[in-house]
Amino acid sequence: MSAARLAGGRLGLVLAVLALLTAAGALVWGATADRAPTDQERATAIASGLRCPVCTDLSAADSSAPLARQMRTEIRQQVAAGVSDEEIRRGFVEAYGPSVLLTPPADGLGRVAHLLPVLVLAAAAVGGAAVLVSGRRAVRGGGPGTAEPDHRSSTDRTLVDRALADLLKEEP
Amino acid sequence: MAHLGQLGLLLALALAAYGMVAAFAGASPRRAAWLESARLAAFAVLLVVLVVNAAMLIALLTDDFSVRYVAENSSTATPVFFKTLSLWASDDGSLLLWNLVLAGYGAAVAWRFRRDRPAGFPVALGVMFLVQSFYLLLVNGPSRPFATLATAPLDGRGPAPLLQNHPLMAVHPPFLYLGFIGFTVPFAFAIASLVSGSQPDRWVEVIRGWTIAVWTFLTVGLALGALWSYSVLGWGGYWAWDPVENVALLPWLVATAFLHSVMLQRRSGMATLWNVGLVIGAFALTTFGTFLTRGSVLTSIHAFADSSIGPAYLTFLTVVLLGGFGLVVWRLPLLRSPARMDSLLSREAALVGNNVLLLAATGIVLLGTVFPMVAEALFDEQLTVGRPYFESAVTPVFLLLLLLMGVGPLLPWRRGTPGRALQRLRLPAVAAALLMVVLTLAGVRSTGAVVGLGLAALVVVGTGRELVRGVRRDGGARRVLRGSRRYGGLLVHVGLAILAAGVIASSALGQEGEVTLAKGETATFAGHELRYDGLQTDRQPNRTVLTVALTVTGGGGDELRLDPRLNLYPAASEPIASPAIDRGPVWDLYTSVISLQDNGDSATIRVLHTPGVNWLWLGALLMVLGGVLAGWPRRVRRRRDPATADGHVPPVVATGARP
Repeated sequence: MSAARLAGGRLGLVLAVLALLTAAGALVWGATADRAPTDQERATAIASGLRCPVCTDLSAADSSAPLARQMRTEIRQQVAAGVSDEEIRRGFVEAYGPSVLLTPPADGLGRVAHLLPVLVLAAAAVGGAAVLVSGRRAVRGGGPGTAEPDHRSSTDRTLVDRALADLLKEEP
Repeated sequence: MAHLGQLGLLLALALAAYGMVAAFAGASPRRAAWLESARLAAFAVLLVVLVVNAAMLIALLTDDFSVRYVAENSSTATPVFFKTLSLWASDDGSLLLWNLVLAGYGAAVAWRFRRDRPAGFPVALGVMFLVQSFYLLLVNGPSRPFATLATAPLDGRGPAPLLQNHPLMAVHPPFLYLGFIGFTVPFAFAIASLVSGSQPDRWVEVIRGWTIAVWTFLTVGLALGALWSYSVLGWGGYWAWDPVENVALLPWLVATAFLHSVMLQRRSGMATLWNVGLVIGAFALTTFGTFLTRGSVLTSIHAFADSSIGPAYLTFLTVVLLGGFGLVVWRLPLLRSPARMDSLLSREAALVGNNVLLLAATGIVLLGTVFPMVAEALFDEQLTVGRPYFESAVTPVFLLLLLLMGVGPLLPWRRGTPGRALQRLRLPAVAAALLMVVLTLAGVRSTGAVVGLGLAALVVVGTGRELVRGVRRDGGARRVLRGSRRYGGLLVHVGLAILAAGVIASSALGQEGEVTLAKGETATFAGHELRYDGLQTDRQPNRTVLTVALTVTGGGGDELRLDPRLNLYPAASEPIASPAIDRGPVWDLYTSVISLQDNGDSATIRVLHTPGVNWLWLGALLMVLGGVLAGWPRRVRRRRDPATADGHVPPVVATGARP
């Protein structure tokens, strides 16, 4: 590699790092920038979290059923009257039961629903890590995989070599 | 027609049962004639089931209301097109189509392996017949599509209004069926490989090929379902995280995981056990989904009420799970293949990560879908797990998958060096970073959306460059087709990233609202002016259509006419809305009538201004093209040079590397 290309490579890397840092900065700035939701946004957010009790799978924000329309009007009125999001939701739970919430409540049995994704992710992470670690160990020695090359016949070895050569061609 | 249909179903069941026995008996090489006769039985079953479907179709088209199914799902006023679709508009009829598709797959397997038959082929054919027998048993007992009424009514009830509202109903169910039912084939071959105990590596090519085809069909089916939801239902969304949508997504996720981990097996002889497990899991999930949809567990637009066949599905599911995974445990010593990771910065490690994330997503969606049913059955508590839950639980996993898609395909097999990997990532990373900066400066305040769109750019740029480079290097369509697996896969990635960008943009950056307009009145929404010009009433034989004429003036001053409608069907208490959409490369303007007041003097309209919806359809289209390319049969090449023709290590290496 020539010196010029090396320098170019370094410059490119510096630029890339700079771009990533700018992106990260922009993200932080964007996330922390002041933004109070409008009443309309608040009302839509609350309605999206409530099930339309007479529909099968749509939220009160999405359904055009009369009851959903009624719920939307009520939410808008309460938001305008200064009732807090939490209180508005509680009102609907009292009227229709906890199943009106599209995300189960975070207490009682509902807490289990909230724990499930965390448990699944943890189990998946542990499983994946175990595969990777045992795979590394097999390569470093002592594992069952290390004895393999001895079983290869010479034809196999030729095939492997040809295939590997092809691979290198394929991915420069 | 009813008698013909009923007789046909009995005959088909007898043929399928015979085929099963003959195929299993034909597993012994001394009884080759049995196997031959089983193959013929597969064609015979297809023929008979075809006749049965034709009988139902004729009954529907000739308004034969003495058949209960026709009386309940069609009427004299139903247009011929929708009469035809009534064939699969309800549970009993759709089981006929189900059997037809399954018989089609059975015949396809019998035809495909008419000459070269891998060892254990008879078992695979037998399993196909076993599954077919189960579904034929369903239509011969618990469900009776050809049941007749003692006195035929003068007219039928007509199909459910929602299902006769749009022509997409003609294609969404058949493709979904092709996808769903197709998982029977990989499953049958997986079972055959377990039973015969032959080196599972020989099966990998066969199973992979069929799985790609099935995966492609399911992708089409899911995309058409989303398109239907968006174009017909009037709520402006395309995916509601409805349980039935979820169970259709589950096998897709598992099949996607398999199509990736199978590369580990083909390349390095790893993950044999895992792959067989994934194939069985995907099939079990389709059975589970069928049970949820048809077993009276759910009510939704997809669910067919009043089905007494839930227990039958549950029994079948248990057989599949116990039988399938029982065989896996039995063959454990044969399947165990050592994992070897030369480097954590390798394609192998990325593939492991892919499987971890895809299965995590599967687990989250599955448990979330089942949770309310378990809560009600065991604790008598009514809880809902809906869209906000799934969105917040699954989004992090999907974002990680996007990141992995951006990095993984650029990593070399076996061993990578950090410097090399960084070098290949530089351009895509810079592009992603730039996009993120621009989006933030443009005022996008959702961190998730900015990161997600950045990651999508990472994939599109990185993978797109690989694709362009590779095609340019290979030159010529024929040589590209030769490397079709890699190019197909990369194209799917580009498509999925575009689709993801569409999902992120449309869910985070859109605006929605509701306007009530008197005749002649104008309202402003998201830079557009909407004017209500008046109401037209159109009486059609099967419905009354109320059209709300809207004139929309865009930011540039150009005028546009949108005609959202309300359709009144005699069978429906509520009107069914038909949205009107102005589709654009970036923005869609979506209007849907919510209600009319004072005889149409004023109208309430739901309006959405959503970006990226068309990226979704474009992305799905690219994914399907990629699937077709990756699954393209490559028979010509194999004759020339079996070992190195396309730069992929052929399976023989995998076998050779094993003791």
